[in-house]
Amino acid sequence: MTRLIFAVNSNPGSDELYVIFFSATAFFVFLASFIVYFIVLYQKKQRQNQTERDAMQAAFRQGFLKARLEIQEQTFAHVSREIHDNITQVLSFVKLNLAMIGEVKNEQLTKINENRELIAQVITDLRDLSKSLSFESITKSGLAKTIEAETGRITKSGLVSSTFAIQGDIYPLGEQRELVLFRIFQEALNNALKHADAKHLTITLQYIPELFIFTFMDNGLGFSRENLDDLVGAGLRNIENRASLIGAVAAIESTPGNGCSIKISLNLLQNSLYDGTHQDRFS
Amino acid sequence: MDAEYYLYLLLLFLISLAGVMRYKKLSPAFKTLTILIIATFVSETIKKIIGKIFHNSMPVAHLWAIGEYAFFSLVYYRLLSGTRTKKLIIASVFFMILLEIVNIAFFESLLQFPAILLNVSQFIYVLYSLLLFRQMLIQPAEESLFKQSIFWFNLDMLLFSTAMFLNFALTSYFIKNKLDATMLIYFSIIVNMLFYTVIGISILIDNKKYDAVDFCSK
Repeated sequence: MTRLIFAVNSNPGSDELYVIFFSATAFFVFLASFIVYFIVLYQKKQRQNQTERDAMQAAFRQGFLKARLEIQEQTFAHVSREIHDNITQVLSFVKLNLAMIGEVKNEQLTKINENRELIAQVITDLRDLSKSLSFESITKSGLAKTIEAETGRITKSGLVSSTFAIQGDIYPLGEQRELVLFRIFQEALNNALKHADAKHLTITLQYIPELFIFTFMDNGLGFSRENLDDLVGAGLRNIENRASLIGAVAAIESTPGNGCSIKISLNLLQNSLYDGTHQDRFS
Repeated sequence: MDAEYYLYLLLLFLISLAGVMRYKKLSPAFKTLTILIIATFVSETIKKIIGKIFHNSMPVAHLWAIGEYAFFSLVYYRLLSGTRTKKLIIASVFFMILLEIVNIAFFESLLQFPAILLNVSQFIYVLYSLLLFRQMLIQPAEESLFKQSIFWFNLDMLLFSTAMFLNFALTSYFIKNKLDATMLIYFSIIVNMLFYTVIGISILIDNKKYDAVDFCSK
């Protein structure tokens, strides 16, 4: 692209030259302004695109999480129904059959009765499990009573002791929110029993007008976030994700040797994907 | 003037070398640009040799004016999206060939400087450049604008084409009015050097992974 032109040297100067010079200067000033304008506009567009992309990613994440939870709830409901309608029925039938065995020796009768008691225990446990898996208990009894019953069941098993408290007047949070909060409680309970080796649990539900706070504390081993294994880490992320889905904020605090505290704060004035007025429900 | 010319050739050689070394990492448009720089280097060397022997290298300038236009059009063909735009780019190459034939036949013989062809080329480059800026605004990339090879190349094209267009006009005026055009010659040399330096920079920073525009349509 060489443009090396060899011109002739001749008469110097002309008044027109000033006009040409100023026109050229004006043109280059215009060009420079155009470039600056382009840069500013481009950067503005970049920022706009970034904001839109972030919003889309957040919406996608929320949608994905919602779909995952719906599938999970459907699976829970299916398993719960199977346990209730099939397995416990069969076990009841087995228990009945055992009761109908006649003309047996005392020794055998004792064994049969022991087995009947064991089956009765299995049936009760399975019914409890079925209830905890199903969302129906939440729908029927509400969050506070369901958590209280679940805590009572765990305490009764002798695995841990617990303190359960409700502060303020109970008000409904909405079916979906309560279900998500219950699943958070279950996840926290699971972590406390399986990984933290906790001996005592403190569960508090605070019903402050327009603000609900759920607190779950254990006196287990505790942890530091950096040293968490994948399973526990995933469980805690699950808690945070579920909380964000209902527009709540999860604060998880723990240090090694000092147990763990999970606090879910739900501002009821804030809109969320799963607000209490949403018509469709899980499964 | 020889020293400037050799410096200019050295610059072209260095940019060609950089382009060849980074060839695999370059996006299709910048691969074409590298070939264009190599071809420019060869053409300018031939022009110098022919100029020394025959004292007139304008036939090479005529030939290269068309070649260069075709190459730059191919670069923009690869950078711009839109079937209609691409078709227009191809059509413009045929138009320029036709214009060159008419130019040689009626206006500027093979022994004269191909000013008409170069002026028209520069006008079209400005259009290409504006079209690409528009496309960049429609599809902004995540990467910082100043790290985008396409931005530097396109800006370079816009500034060079407008500056040279103005330079041609002024040179014609100076010659017509028998004024001293030495300043304009030096201006032209500086603009050329800057033009190829910025092209060299754009080749150095180009990366096919992070291009500003969508190349899927190619």
